[in-house]
Amino acid sequence: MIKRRITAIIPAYNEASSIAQTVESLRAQTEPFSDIVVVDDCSTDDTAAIAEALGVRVLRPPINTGSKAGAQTFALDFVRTEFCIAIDADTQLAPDAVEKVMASFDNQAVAAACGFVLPRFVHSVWERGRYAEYLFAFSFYKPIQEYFGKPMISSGCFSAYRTDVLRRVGGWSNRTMAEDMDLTWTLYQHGYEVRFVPEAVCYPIEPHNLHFLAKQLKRWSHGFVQNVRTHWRGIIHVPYLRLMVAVGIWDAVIASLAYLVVLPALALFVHPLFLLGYLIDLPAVAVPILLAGIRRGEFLKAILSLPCFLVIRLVNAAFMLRAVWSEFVLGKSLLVYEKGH
Amino acid sequence: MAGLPGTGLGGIFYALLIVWMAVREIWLLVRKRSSQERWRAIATFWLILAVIVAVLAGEFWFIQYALQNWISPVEAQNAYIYQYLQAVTPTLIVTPFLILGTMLMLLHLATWLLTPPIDSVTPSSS
Repeated sequence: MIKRRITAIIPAYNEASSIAQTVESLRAQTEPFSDIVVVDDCSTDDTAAIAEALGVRVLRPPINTGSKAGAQTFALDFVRTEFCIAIDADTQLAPDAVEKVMASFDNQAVAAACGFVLPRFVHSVWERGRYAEYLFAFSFYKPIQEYFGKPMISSGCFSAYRTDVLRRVGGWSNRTMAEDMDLTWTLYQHGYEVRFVPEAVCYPIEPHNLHFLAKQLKRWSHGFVQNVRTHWRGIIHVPYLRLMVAVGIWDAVIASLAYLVVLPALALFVHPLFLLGYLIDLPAVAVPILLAGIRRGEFLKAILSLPCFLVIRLVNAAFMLRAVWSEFVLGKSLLVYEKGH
Repeated sequence: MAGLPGTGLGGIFYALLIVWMAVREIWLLVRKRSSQERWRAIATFWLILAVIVAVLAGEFWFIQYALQNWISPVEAQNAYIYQYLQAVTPTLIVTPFLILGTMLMLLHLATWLLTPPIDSVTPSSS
């Protein structure tokens, strides 16, 4: 195995309850880190004290940076290794995740690589919905994107980067609410490659109730629209990505209108049978989800989560429509970063 | 993508990408840039796609059967629904492909008309 020098960057704001588990999972990696940096973004809890007690380097910006992007870019100045990996403070990695994801960098053109994301806890409706959603996205959409060399996002909760490239493009920007998507599309426009490694698995804590889910979806939906607005002219020249984004925005608007306006109207004014429209694609969606569930030995969990997928999809639709309306029509951009839990 | 609501046009688009993979890989094979690993991945995607198509075909057969045999005799209104579905089904099948085709053409046209603003893509963190 090639010995690579890697720094872990963990942005943290009030993460006292999860930071120790994250650091422990990094220490248990088959490919060790040269340095583990926790960016304590002026937390008001014991995040910094816990991290220091674990013996990792703790950085503290003079004032709260206001976003994950800000905290990560602050840490970038202190990175002295060829590679760095950004990991959310609530995310645990499978023991071989770093080794698997770093293999992508044998190709010199690769600037970033990400792995398979699965919720750590799957109890509430929202966590179950997200579990099914991730199984679908990471076992169907993303491997197809990877085949064409254009994963749409190098996931913010766990991604590896070449440090020099990251510095060259200015680090993580806080101009949008989805800094991971922003960075990925920026890398493509500069001619770099991004990889998705399904064998590298990470486990973030997902929102367990509607209150926190709403904050996360608000960020994601506005972030997507803001990135389309920021990058549309550049990504038009990136093959495959342009189509994936165009189809994504089409689905975001049309599917949302269908779920929230057209189907209820048809059910109300024409016939209640139109409510079956909510289920029409469920068998098709179920195939990749259940296959991924079988592969992971989690068939029961996958099948029980399917109804929750339908629920979370409706919530996604509401937030997406609101974001499109707010950003494109009203011209009101979301500027304040709120944590999802 | 997680957080996006739709699987409609997106689903069809990704299904078409799976079909396109085989064509693309043959082209790569001719240029000696293909690999067994990639063909294995394509075979897996085709298998998944075949199951999805089979499941959807089964679903549409079941809907038609249910409307014809269970529901339509009950009330005239349901017969109207059945006729309505019969009428709109071809449109529902053709429309996504038309939209995708138009999107593809417009995007290609845009690549000729617009120059990439490479200087403006560099993020400026503050």
